[in-house]
Amino acid sequence: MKDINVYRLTVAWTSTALIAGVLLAIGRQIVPDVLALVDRTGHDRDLVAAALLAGTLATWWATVRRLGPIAASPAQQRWQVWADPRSWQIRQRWRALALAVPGAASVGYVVGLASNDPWTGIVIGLALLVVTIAIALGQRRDGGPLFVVVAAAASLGLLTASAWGPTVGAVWGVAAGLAALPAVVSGSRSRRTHRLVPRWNLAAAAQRRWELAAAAIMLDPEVLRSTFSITGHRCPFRLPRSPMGRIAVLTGWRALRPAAIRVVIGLLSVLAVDEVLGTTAGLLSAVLLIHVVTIVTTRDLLAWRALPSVQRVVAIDPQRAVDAFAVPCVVVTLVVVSVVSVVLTPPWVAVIVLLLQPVVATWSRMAAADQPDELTMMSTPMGAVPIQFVIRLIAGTEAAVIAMIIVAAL
Amino acid sequence: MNDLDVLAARGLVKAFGEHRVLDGVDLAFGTGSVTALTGPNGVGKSTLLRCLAGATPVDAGDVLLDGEVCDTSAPDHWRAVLSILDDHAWLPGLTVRDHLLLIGDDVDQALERVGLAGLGDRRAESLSSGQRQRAALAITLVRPWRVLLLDEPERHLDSDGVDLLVELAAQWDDRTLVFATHSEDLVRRTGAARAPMGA
Repeated sequence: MKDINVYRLTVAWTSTALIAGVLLAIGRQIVPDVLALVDRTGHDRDLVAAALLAGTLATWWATVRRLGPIAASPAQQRWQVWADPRSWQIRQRWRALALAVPGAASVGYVVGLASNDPWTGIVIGLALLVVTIAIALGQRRDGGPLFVVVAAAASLGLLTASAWGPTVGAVWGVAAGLAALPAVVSGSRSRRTHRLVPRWNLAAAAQRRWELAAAAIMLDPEVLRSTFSITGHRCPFRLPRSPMGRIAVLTGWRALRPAAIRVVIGLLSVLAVDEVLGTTAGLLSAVLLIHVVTIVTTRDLLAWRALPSVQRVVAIDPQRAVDAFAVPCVVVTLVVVSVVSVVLTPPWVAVIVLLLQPVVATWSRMAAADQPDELTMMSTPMGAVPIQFVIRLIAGTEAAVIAMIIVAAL
Repeated sequence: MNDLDVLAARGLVKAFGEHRVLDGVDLAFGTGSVTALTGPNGVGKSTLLRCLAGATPVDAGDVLLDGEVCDTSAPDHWRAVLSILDDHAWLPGLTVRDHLLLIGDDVDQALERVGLAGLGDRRAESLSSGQRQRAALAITLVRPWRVLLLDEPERHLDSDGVDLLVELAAQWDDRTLVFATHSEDLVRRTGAARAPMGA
């Protein structure tokens, strides 16, 4: 068993080193060429750099999701973990480090290239490394405070770097990294002193990981909210007499109260993107914001159509009720499009596209929901699932993609 | 069917593939009556309730409300006939109180009556099965109805919950209650008339 572990560790380290080397070589060759090509062809260098960064960050995030105890698959949790749980968890700790270092380094490398400032890249890379380690450690039941402290320290380091320059930030980043290192080492050096993560903690972590992944895939933060929030604040408004009015007010309150802050932050992000990367990028981010808002605010609408028992209890015309359920989406879309129109002053065609996007997305999602499951199966990383399920999952996204293409072409 | 019958099934037929679950069922429920559909699993108790509620289409036959053939998939029918069957569900974004507010007022009173006074602001999926069943009973206190269809209403309820159900059934003596059950105790305590199925 020990030999196998050593073998796997050796393979993991060698593979990581090889992949990191290849990526570094390709990156050194390709990224400057790409940016030079961008300059020659007259495209927006910042936009391309941002796209590169987004891709690299996505890779980093995919790496983070595979770190620490939450990386345990259900099969591992049930069988492998309990065969030798301590050594398995220690291996997970080292695996976290082995993945985190090249991940953070690649992000830092891209940032350094895009910003033409190697120190900025180093600082970002170190900060991501610290945060990654904190995430891996914070998954333990007793690791929460450590995660909060290290994440806060990393954020402070970024602020320090932006205020006093990259050198100060880099020094701080190294210090924070060194401060986090003993925690990792102490957790890994001895099998006797290593405290086991409780089984329920592993199961809860795996559940959270699944929810986070589902929320990211579906661009639906409601998946997380419905898990973490079991209560809702009472609606402070006087309810109208008509059931239609009550539906509009109550579903609007439930959807918009938690989403209001996110909509405001999303709008500020759109304005920031417009300021930094230009109108097209701003409009693209507005499309994304409207897509998320549409999904969040039409959740109960789709649930209503799928639940005949609720329709029978409320006992109003189901189709008219759909109109009432759509009110929150209409209101938020109008607010977002109004702000975007005033600040970004896009072409009128773009405004029409933004207004139509939620309509098309919602129609698409309703049409997909109406398709009954059949026996046509599709192979996915989650196993074989009905193809209608996959269509339901991605329905509405095509509206955002089409809107993005139109907006980008204007 | 006579003039006092508020809801009736006339020659109801419902089949799933080759299997006829309901084969020409004739039943009538008078105003103020309490009727228990009884019988072993698979004889069609829940299916009959679903047909009466408009939760599933019938293959043949009619459902009559006040002596008139009615469209069971229309909101007018649902307003008269409240059904809480095995497909009962809750909207994921709304709390229990929100659901009750969609259909009426006096929500706090109803929640207190069913023993959920402190749980109205919880989302339904966060409640236990028994609490959800109590919340479903709260619907019967908030929303006006003339006929109430319940499918195994004692399911998931503790002994206090069953007591509550019996009390409510006694309270509804001016309206029509039809329920499917396997509980002899519930039939006896509610004084329900038996409608054995599959006999």
